[in-house]
Amino acid sequence: MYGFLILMVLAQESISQDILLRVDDQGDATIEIQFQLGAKSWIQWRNLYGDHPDLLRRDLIHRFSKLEISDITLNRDDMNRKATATLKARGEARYRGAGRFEIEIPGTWKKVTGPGRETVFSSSEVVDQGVILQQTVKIVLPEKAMDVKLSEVVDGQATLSYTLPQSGGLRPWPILAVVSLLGLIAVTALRFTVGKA
Amino acid sequence: MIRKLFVPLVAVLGLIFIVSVALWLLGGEKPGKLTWEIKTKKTVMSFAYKAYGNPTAAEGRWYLSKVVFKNEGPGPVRNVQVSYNIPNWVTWTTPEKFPEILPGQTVIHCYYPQLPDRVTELTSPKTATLEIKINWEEGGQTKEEIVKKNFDLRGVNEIEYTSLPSNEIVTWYDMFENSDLFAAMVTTDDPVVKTFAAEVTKFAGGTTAGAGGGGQEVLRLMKAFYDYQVATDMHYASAKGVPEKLGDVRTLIQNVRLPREVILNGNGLCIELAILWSSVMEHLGVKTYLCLIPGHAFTIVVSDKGEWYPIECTGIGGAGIGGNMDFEQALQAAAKTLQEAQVRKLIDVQGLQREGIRPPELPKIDLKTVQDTLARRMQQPRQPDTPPDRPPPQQPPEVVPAGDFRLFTHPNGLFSFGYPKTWQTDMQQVRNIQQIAPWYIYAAADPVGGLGVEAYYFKETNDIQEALNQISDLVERGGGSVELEAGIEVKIGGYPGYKCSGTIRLPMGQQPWLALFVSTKSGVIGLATSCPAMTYDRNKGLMEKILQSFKPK
Repeated sequence: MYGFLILMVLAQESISQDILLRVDDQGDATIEIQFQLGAKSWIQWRNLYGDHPDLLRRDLIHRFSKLEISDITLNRDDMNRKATATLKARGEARYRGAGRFEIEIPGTWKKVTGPGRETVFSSSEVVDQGVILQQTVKIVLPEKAMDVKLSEVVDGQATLSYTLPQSGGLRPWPILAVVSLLGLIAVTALRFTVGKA
Repeated sequence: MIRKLFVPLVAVLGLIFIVSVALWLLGGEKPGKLTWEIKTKKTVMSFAYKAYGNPTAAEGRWYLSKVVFKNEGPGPVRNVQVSYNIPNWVTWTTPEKFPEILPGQTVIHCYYPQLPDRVTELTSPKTATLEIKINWEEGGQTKEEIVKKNFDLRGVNEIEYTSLPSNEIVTWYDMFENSDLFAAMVTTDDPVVKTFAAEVTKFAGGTTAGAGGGGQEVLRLMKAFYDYQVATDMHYASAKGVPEKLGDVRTLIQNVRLPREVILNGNGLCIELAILWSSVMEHLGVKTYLCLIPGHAFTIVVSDKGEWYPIECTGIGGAGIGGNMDFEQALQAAAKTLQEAQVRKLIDVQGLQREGIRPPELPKIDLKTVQDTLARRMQQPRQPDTPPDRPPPQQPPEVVPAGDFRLFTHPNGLFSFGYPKTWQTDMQQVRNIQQIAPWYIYAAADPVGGLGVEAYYFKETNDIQEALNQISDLVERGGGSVELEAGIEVKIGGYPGYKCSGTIRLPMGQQPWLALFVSTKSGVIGLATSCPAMTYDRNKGLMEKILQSFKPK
């Protein structure tokens, strides 16, 4: 996922990147992708994307068109050959009703820690002659997330699911109607009980 | 006490009860407002229909349609359902249900159609309609809407190398962003390929250890396959490679025959032969990569120990270059090409097929006919090496015969030059460049071989060096550089001029160039030609000829 940010480089080395995915109460996510390259790969990457963030934006939106991506930024640290891209992905967690949300997890990701409010995955794939891309992905769920579960892989995908307290809120009118009715019954019962005594 | 308070208490509680029930019944919940945006692909490449039907293939990017629902109201939207129908191809799908979409929430649904196998019977594009039915409950009301979108199902042999619009193509990689789909053309389990592979195995001596046999066994198998192709007169069919650079958008849609057609016809383009190599090797249990470079494609066969054996698949058909290559030469040629490639795209056939870019189910075919055809070819001696329908293999040749030029004349008659008639011009591209470089006048390119010519007119200066600087600035803005390696002063049409050569380095590769500049009364006029580095020696003559045709008035 997002590996292509650096894969266009004819890398001479194994490369790694860290991805931090923070999910908010609505199910939208802020994604931060950070990586560091060697000298040759850095120059090639800069030529392709580092100096052309517009092309990076275009390719991110195009290649991950399954998602709704916006607010893309790129920060470069040339001295350390590091770059960080951030973006927002709407609807990353799908709401299933009754406070339950689901996030799709590629079947190739291996769980490192969790599942919990913070769940960490790692993945590793050979992308070119002997070149390995390693990814660490940390998913941070909303503060009130509970009952976090990671399903088994089915058809190449797993699901990370969690529950938030009903974000639709309690409905006040039916509750008030029931409470006032109970109050009426109680007062009436009390009136006649006390009257008899 | 309770008697005194009873009436007011009952009155207050009763009032609260009545008001609560009234508000509850009269819509105490605020209504939601469902909006959606639908994005539908304009085309579906039929040979890869399984990729379009697989949500996990390539991160799910091969969906046919994406619906982005949003609840823009203050209350929830309930029981949202979406289903799809493609008349004549796919019946209404089971609705996907979203029990509730909360205010401000976004829900995305992508549709991956399960197209029937018969889609591979299409030989030319056919328009189809996608119908999307959306049901939902909003403010207590049930609503339904059906949206229709047209798209084209491409013929089974048509591949679109890129989905990017032409004005977005910047690097060579942009042109090949769909090329992973070639993995779906590697039809390892096609009965025709199996029959063909069985003949190769027989030719190899009857047994193969496949992937487990190490490098020597893989090489033995490759040599047997290569020699079998030569022995059965399979040959390279055309000078067309994969596109080298953007000529116009049409060149980015290519007809590529599937391995069974290559087997039955006995010839193929470089990409077709490379796909056949992958199909046969993968069927025999050996891992392969398809390797694309500008203007060319070949296969890399990988042993179980990870050793790479690139093979020049077009080496089998040697007409025009003094005979076919032998197996060793074909290995060496591909190794050299791979080493010298400035850019390349590797297609991991097994990896991509595992991810869901799987080959299609193809129409049934009479295998007896296939067996008879292959047996007949084996019995016939190889045809002479210069059949009229067999153009030179391996590298795109000089595209046109000498003298077959068309003339470009500047609108104000300032200069003219000739270039091969088969070359193409994309004036929209020229106009795009003119917006940042008004001195950029004209360009034409060979869509196959990657040669090109460009004309410049700097009316603001008479200084050739200044003109060269402006060209360098433009290239640098595109992330490249221009190196000037040699130059001599010349006289052209009575004007002082400068003939020079060098290399242009761009993110997508480097190209040698030859150019002529003249300083006239009305400014500097320049003409530059370039070609891929690997074809420079062969094309230098044509490039010189173009420069010689340059005539300032």
